[in-house]
Amino acid sequence: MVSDRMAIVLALLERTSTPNSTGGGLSMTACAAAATALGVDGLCAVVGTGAAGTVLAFGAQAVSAELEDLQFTLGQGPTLDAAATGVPVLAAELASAAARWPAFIPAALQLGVNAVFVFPLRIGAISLGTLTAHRAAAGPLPAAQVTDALALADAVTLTVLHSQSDTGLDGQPGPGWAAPATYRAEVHQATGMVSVQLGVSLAEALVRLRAFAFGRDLLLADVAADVVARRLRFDEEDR
Amino acid sequence: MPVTRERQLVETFVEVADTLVDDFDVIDFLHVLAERCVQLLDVEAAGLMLIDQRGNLHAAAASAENARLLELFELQSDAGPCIDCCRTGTPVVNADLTANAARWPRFAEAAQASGFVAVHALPLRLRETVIGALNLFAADSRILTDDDVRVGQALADVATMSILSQRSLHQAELLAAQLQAALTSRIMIEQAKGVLSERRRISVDEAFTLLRDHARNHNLRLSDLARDVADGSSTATDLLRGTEDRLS
Repeated sequence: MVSDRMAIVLALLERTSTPNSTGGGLSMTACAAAATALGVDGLCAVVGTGAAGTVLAFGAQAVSAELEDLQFTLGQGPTLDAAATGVPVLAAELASAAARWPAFIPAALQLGVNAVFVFPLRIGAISLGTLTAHRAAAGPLPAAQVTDALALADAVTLTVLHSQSDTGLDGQPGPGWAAPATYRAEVHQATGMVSVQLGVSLAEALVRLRAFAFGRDLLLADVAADVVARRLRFDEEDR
Repeated sequence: MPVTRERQLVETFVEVADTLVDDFDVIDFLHVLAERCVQLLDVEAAGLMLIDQRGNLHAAAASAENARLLELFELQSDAGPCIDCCRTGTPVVNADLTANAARWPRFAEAAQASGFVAVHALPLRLRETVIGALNLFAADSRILTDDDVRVGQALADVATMSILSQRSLHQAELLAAQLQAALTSRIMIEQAKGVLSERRRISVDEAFTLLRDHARNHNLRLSDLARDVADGSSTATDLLRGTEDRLS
């Protein structure tokens, strides 16, 4: 389960990054609180991969930014691996990982970073970027903090998803707006169906689904079930 | 000549060993395992659930890709034998749903509505960590013998190994990565089922069968194919258009 500290961070995120807030950026407060909860020295989200445009999505300390720059310059590192594989990369002892990232490791050590933990911002085939935490002290991220980091990555993924879309929402968000509901199979099936109906990406389809549910005060899972049962089509209903 | 269970068991474990030494797709493998459970343990349906770090249950695979079974899993988020099994790490065996209706009212009602009268749940366990459960659903009240339970637990252990086997596991944090990989793969398959069902005007269940058959026939990993379908990648064009089989 998510720790109390992280629960507060997530609540803060939910409040400061509601669908109607502009920019969709994460506040420095939330970022700092998240780093404290995870017991790391810095935290940053990178949206998009490769040369096409790396965006620091929220309050990165100088070291975070430099760490990202290094990896994109050198073309190797834990963030790039996590982005490529879609799986968390937990590099607890950078000093012993030189074989894996020969160019990156010495540079990272020189920055005073000894451990890097990367979590993909991802929902299935929707891949938005990565969340990277770094720490001066070597050693694993404790299991409880891994849980917290995964929950944070889920929340950041949704925030980024909505900030990238033009689809606006009406009204005030209800409780549980930020709940990912990613454990419902129908939500993902409906995402695929709506993307075909509207001719949009999976990411945009998920935003539309969530906006539809939000605007009508319905549960996302119920809307998704209607789509899968073909009781609801987005190309007819939601123009 | 009827094939004895011992023979079936041997064949299953040979099949399992062959898969695990290869570069295999974990979700596809779990589906095969669920099907073997149905054959070997003579139950109506079998499903594998994974539990994530936040305590949410995810249906990873089922012997019959039907919504009904998935719904059962979902309902369990409240309470049910599989939840109990995941929480305690101990098997729930021969749980008669009529007798246990008071213990898990919503689950018992949903399961009976689907024609199941008994359920068994065996933990997917790695030392002290429980990562999910193998659930067996029976349409009659025949008792699962001790031998059956041992076979079932062996199959559950194989499932655990398959999830963790791609890399060696030394630390709890690696477990998180492996679980995450399996769950991401499952989500991609659901998204691909949606895309395919809309493109081909078929049900999501039919879409899954189509995906799986296509992956088998073309020697592709199920999750790789699912990603291509979900992304609308050109490698999946034939499948999306239905130009290579009769289902269009």
